[in-house]
Amino acid sequence: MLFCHITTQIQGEKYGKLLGEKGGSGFPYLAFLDSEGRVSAKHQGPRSADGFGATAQKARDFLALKKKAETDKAAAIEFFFQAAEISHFTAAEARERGKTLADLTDEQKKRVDQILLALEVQEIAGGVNWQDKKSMADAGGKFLELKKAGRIPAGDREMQSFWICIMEHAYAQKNAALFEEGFSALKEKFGSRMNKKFQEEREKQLAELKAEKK
Amino acid sequence: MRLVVGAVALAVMASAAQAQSLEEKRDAKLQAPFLSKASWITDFDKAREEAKKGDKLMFAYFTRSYAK
Repeated sequence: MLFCHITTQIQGEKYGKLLGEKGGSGFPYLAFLDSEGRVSAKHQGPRSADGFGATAQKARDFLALKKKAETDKAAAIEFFFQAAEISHFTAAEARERGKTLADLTDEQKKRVDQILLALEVQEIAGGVNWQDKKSMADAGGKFLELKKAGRIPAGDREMQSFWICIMEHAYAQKNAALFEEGFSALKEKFGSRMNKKFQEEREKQLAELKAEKK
Repeated sequence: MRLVVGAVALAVMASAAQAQSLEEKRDAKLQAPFLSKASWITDFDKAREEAKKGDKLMFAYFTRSYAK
């Protein structure tokens, strides 16, 4: 069946954040959801009948793995990793699921930790109104607590949200050092891929903060 | 990967006049021809209800109406 979600940016609209909650970051975003509305496969192939058919099959395979994971430990681990990749879980669900995984190797444990952190960052970022600096700064405060605990995300998307919000928080707090730390982290990660206008605005803000500090 | 979030973060905050315009844009999007060419459901709760009936997969298309 066909579901079309329209992000309107109208304040207070129900499911206004659904795109982000379902693992999307831009438009158009295509995915197969299960009967509970959970992502079962993201469509990244050709936008053709064959392409959609292939993704639908991936979704069915994923749901079969989910069923197998109920009784098979190895399948449970594989299901967890695949589910995290496609934003099938909320952060809270992932935390609960993560606790039930057995016989993890050290490498798998690290991967689980990074996944849980990424989901936590996505969940905080999903609640941000990106047109509202206070909303961004408030999220930045939460991200700062993660940073203080040594939990800094590694993924591109999570790092963007993380550091941009921390910078907004730092700007509101007149904290030049923290602002600069965030800006440096973004420059190191994204370099020439960084939006020019964004970079120029942040350079101005940093200069302003440093001038105020003197 | 463009710093999409950064660009979004620079967008001007919607004024009251723009809020009305957002609703008009949403209404215009709901009239888009593609929505009438197939049985698209645009309400997430209704879509889940429908999907549960036959344990069906949902093909989800996420779009927006607020672009300038």
